[in-house]
Amino acid sequence: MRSKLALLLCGAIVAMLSGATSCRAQMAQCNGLTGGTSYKVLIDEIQYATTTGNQPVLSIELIQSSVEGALEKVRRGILNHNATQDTFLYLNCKGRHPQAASDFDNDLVRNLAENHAILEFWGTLFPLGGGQHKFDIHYVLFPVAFLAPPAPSGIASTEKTMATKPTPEEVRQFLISTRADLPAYFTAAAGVQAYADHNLDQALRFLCEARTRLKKNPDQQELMKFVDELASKAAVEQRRNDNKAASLLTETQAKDYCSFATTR
Amino acid sequence: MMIRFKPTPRRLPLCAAAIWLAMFLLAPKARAGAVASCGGEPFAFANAEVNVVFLPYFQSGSSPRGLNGLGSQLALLMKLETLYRSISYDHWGIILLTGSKEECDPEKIARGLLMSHRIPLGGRLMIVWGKLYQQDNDVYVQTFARFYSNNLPGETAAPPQIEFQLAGKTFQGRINAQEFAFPPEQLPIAVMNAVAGNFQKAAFLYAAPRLDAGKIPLPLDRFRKCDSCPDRLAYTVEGREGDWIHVKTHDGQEGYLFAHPQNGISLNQRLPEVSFLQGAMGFLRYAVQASIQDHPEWASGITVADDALREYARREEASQEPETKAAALQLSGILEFALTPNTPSPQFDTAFQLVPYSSDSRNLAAVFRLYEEYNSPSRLRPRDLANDFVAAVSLDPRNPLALSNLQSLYELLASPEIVSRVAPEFAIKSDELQASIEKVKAIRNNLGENRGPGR
Repeated sequence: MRSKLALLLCGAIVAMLSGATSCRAQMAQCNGLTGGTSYKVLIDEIQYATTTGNQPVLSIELIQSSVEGALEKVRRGILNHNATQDTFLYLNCKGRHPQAASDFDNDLVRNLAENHAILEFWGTLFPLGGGQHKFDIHYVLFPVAFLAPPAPSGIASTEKTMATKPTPEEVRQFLISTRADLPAYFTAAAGVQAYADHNLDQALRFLCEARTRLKKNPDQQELMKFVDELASKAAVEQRRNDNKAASLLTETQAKDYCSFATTR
Repeated sequence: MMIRFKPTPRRLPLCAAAIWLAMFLLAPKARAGAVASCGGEPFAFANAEVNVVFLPYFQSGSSPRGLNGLGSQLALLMKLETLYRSISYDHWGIILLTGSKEECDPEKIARGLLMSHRIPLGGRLMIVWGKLYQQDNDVYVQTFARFYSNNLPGETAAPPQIEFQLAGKTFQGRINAQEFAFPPEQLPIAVMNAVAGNFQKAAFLYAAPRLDAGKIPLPLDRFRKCDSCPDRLAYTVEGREGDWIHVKTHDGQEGYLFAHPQNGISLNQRLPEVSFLQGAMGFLRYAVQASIQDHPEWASGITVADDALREYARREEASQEPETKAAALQLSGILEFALTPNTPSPQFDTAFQLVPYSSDSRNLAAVFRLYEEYNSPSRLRPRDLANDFVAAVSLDPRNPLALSNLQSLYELLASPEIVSRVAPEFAIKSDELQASIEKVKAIRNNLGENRGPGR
């Protein structure tokens, strides 16, 4: 059953990537996804799960505004380092809402990662009975999932159970309260992508920023360990080049790079 | 009070830049405000030490309400509140630009001001803008600000904000960001109504500091609709009377702006960035390459700015944006250092803890750790000092200040007079120091960054 669903979704997204219009009800197209070297963040819908089909909870523009607000400082921090304006793109994926993170199999992840999609974000509000609701926010970090298969690597979620059906405002407040998660996952994904692109200087900074942010999240210690180790690997590689600033590091410092760089 | 202003719309002062500039130079405190259009060549006061430009807050996403009107109102109130709070400073200009979203793009405005040399070489500029979005009945506002400077030849993209010498070696630092995002804040309907009500009172030039005095409207709509409008409404700021700002136009007319309306809303209470902007403006005015000893009259302005930045950092909401909170602590620390250089503030360490992945934060904390250690009777710990700068360099290998500081530190440690001050367990051997100096020089040459003080 799961493999059939995965195949179905995979087909839908491959079709989407190739510009086809089928299956749009499940996976709407994100304009600007294919091609280019910009790092892309896919912003999907937040929907109520109902028996008659999902209904949007918040306008996609408001979700995009919240996401951009949370990530703007990170993006600007990078732009200050001589990156161009279109280094990062936020894609408004109106109507797009994956069923579950497990929908993203290895081929699909590879396809998205090769198009420099680094992060996808969506939410679902499930009725639990007795008025209770569960609110899930899902993130897929494509470069992490691609570099560290098998699944479920590169997948993260935040959930909250609510005693009554939340109003859109309560959903929005929850979104705001999880704002700290977005920069953490964004920097982790961007750091891993930069490493994959052999842009090791940028990878080091992103990965240590991700490590710092992820340290505050007890549920993401595995991801934190992954980015920490990748940063050290990048530092050891950079250290070999005498013309690079990382050559100033001792071997011990490079091997535990983020600890050295971010603590006094 | 004698009414010297005659509220005749035909006499609305739209002055030419040349007249204005002459007047600005003659003003003893040289504090000025203006309202102008984003279109055409944007306006700023070329002779001011610092210009602060407010842009309208624009709607983000869809809203049945249409938020751009509220955005224009909020921008005027923010500008007037900043005028009101900046009276302790001198040699500044505060400008409100109005127009369409496309024309009022912050980067476009900054480019126009810098390239036209409306902000002269060495001049400082802060641009403030924001966005509004709606969910149900509530509107949310988020403000952004950015520092710009028209760099002198040879200066780096973001010039240092602190510089000192130890034994002839130069050390420099800058805060962790030049752009600041402030916490998004909710504006319930009651607050929006208060903003609209206060705007209705503030959008006039009054003949006396009373709401029942004669008044003429500020020409906001005219500038908003003007694509390449060469005119502007400009005035010098003469002083503050209660909630009012006393202004004088180029032809000698006097009037009053209702700058601090508090009916139903305190802007500072609702938007903590008001304090940050007040402090940042004072920082840009006074944190320049000059000694406070030569300008004792700056002390009160520096104290006001420091207090405002500390107030922002203390606000609970500030924790939502650690980068901006860290910047407030760093700006405040630099101002306090200007007043009392013998005791560097521990705020640099606090700021570093907030954003430990920032190369500039690590560098700034390292600079002040070095300063404190160098000026204390205790022994130096070269290995720890060097590690601080190595970490800053590794976090941003293109950070010219961190690289320059690391070279300066190694050279300082290699000088004979320092050797006797070194704690043996933290010492770096002479040949290792020389090798490190050559390595840093090579890295800097490789980056094309080997320029700056004494290089």
